[in-house]
Amino acid sequence: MKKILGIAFMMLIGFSDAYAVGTVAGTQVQNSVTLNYTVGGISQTAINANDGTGFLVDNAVDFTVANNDGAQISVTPGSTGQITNWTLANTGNAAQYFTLAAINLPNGSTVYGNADTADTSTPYTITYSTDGGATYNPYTGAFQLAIGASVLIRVAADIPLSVTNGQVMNIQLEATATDSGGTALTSTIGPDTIGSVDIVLAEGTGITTEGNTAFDGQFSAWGGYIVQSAALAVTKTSCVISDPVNGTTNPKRIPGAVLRYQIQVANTGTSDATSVTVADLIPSEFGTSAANLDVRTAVCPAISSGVCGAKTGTVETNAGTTGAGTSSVTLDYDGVAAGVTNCGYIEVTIQ
Amino acid sequence: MTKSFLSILSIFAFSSILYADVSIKSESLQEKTINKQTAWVHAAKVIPGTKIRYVNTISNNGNATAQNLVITNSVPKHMLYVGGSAKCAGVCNITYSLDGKLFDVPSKLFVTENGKKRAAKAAEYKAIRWVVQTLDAKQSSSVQFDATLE
Repeated sequence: MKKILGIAFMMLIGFSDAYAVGTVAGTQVQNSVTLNYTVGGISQTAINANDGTGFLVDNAVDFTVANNDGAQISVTPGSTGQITNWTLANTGNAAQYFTLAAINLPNGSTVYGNADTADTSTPYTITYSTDGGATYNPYTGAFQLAIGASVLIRVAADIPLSVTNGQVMNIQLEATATDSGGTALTSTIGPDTIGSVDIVLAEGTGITTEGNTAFDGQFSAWGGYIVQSAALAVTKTSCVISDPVNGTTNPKRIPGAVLRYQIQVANTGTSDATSVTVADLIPSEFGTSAANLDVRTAVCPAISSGVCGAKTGTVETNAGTTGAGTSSVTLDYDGVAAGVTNCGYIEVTIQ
Repeated sequence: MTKSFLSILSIFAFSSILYADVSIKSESLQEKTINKQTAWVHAAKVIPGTKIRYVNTISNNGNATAQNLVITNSVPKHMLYVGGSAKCAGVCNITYSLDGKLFDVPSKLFVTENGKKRAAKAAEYKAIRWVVQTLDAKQSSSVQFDATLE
């Protein structure tokens, strides 16, 4: 038996021995006591006794699962292989096999203060590292973890393109104590089996609201994802700058008048948007008069009685324009950071 | 006739040897709830953290009083003594040892840690000693202590 255990230990995995586990299962604990006494002032022969063979320490199956991220992982719609990080630790007093399962949590399940509002794509891909995160191996079934050891676990999920900024997708990682074949362990029922190492499921509760209770051989933790995307709102307005009769004083939209289109791009999301462009087809009534194309780092100026206000902000770095003098114009806003609003300008002349 | 009778009496008188047939039995017990009642049963299902009660019963089946009974019990390997748990039925003197050799009361047991002397913790006791002054003929008594499996 001891030899088998020895071989088994050589095959065990795990990178840490930081977890206190107590006396190893199978250890025999025996009590010995000595009695000395006298009779009539004469010392008698000492008597030794023990509690029979004592007892064998049983197998306290104990382990924990923890999410290491501290918050939902930020993801963007349509991203793939998004990783959450976990740790499984064997805190029991024997080497132990475990299986893993990643589970999509139902809407409303709150993790890190954020209620679940959407679902990731499934299935999940689980990998684990026995070398502290240097390399990760695919999880394919029950694996054994040495006493006091732990493994780092990654759960990778694809994020649907349909999710929107701020949506939360929470998941659960559940570890189950099993035999080498992956069958869940149960506590030895009834009285102790004298002379053998019984199984005592001794793990804590973990997350209880999804079915795991203390001493059921399972332990779960929660983590998840939160969508951090750009939310762009585009607003197009027009105003008149001048006309051939009134000049810039109360100008009217008559032939020869110069109009301005103001195309405002506001990012109300939580992620920066990059490579933002707006294409605008100039109506035929303006011919190829498009001119003074411009993108600035401020909201579009207010329009008063149809008359344009003064531009504000500066020309955005790396912004650009194409299409002046043609019927197709493109305004390049470059990046629009989260919470930022930019304004693009196109001036045209009524033919 | 009288002489013969006295002779027989003297034989009985001189053959009455005083002796103390003392024995000791050790048991390891654990607490178990049965039908909502707590009982101490034979220690069997033991995992780290389980508290074990060791009970040593001494009996005197002789015809003389045993004196100065000194019961010395090393705290078993892997077990941690539970402070204040050592008791005896009746009157006794209890001392403890940090090395199994020198015994004293808790207030006089010290360890040196990082160069500083401090009072020893109960879990650091390695042995317990009970001294029972007398155990009369045909009488039994017991001593006990609790320890927790590491």
